[in-house]
Amino acid sequence: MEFEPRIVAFLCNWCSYTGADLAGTSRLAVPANLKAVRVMCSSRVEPDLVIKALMEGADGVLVAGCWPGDCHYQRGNYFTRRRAAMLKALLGALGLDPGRFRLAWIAASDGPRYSEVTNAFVKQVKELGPNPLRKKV
Amino acid sequence: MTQALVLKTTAGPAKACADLLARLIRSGHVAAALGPFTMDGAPPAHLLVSSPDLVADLALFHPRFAGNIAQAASRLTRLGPLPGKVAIAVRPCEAAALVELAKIKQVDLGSFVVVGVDCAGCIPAREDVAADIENHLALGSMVEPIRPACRICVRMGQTEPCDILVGAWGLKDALLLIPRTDQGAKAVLAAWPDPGKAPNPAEADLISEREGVVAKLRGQRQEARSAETRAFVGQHGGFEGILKMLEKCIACRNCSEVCPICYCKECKFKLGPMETDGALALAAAVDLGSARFPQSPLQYHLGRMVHMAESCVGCGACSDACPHDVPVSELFAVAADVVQGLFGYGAGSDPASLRPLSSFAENEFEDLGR
Repeated sequence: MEFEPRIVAFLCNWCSYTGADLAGTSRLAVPANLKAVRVMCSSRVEPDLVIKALMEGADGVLVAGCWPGDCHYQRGNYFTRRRAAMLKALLGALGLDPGRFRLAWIAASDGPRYSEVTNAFVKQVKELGPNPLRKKV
Repeated sequence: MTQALVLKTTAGPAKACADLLARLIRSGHVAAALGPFTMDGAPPAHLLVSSPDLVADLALFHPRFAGNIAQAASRLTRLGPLPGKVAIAVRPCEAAALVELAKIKQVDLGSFVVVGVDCAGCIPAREDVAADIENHLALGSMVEPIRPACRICVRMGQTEPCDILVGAWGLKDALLLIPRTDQGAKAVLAAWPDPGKAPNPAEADLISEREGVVAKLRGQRQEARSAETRAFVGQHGGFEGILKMLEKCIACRNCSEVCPICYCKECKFKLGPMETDGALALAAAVDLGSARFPQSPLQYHLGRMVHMAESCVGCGACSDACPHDVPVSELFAVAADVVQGLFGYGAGSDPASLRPLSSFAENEFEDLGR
């Protein structure tokens, strides 16, 4: 049976969740691997939550928010971006598959991008294989 | 700002520093001194001392690390400024921790006259050897055996947030007393109100002698640090390696208890949202045959990294406190270099620079999120 990754997707209420909705109503293909968690802002997703999801068996974690400059709270996503850069650098330096974590800007009006990003990320995580932490820890 | 002075150290540099603090107390310039003291031959402990006579037991050049004193300073002033000034004697890593704590308003620096002292490193917590730190400072060498954190320390010459620097590197039978701020100059004036009896001004070659030793050591150990952190990642990197390294971790969280930067009264990792849900853990156990419970130490250490690597000053208190000799300070040296390097931030070096995760620039990391 082909490996189907489990992916936790943290979607910001104002842009990305709405974008996901639009992808659905536009009947675009969205992978069933995603477990969406709606948050009020991408900056609500502290790196701890990404780590927790990975440690508890998620094969990949997507954090999606408004494009820089478009944040509903003006500057939330700039902080998200710094945290994401840090988390990626840390996971990379320690050899812990930074590719299992993806940050994506997805606008509310951009259903097609939601479909593209999620499909591409599922493909990427499929190539990485099951999260080695799932059985190990 | 007054110029640098030379302290004669006929009774040893520790006694010369104790004399400075005793003078500050006697003159009423400070109400007490906070520092490591050895009482009745016990290992050094942080004490708040108001008696000028007891200050003689100051153990500034003791080879044992008594914990990061910035944590004590933070707890002293957490509820507000002190009613009287306290002179605090700090090692370079402790000075750096004061800078970081001041940025997050966890210490009131205005309550202190900060006296920064040159440090030749400390011995590992479980070792018990006599070490002549004074001699090491004079010769420009590090103590042996040395804690891993001190082996890769590049903080010699740390100046912030000190009011007075006490220089010892490369100096024999003398210390340099360098007032750095107005407050430091006033303190020196209070210690020696009669200019006729004050220590002599330092000659330029004495100052450059110390600076030369500091620069040389820092260069050497910057190289050692790069090499050691690279070797550490080579040995312990990857899922297998890092889990193996943390095998002995019992998640007691001592490392965060003694960390000067981990200031939260209630650690997030002890709170509900970060705990693994029991029903989920059971489901995972049924699904996989077994599941670790409670959370894996890796989750805790990675979580701690994203919380405090930006401000880690590398004091090594975490490794001293680890009951199972997990190389915590080495792991955090890697994390600190990665995170601080990413943002071009040096923990403890500049009180005016914002902590990287509390700030941002609009045009940066522009490939992220695309």
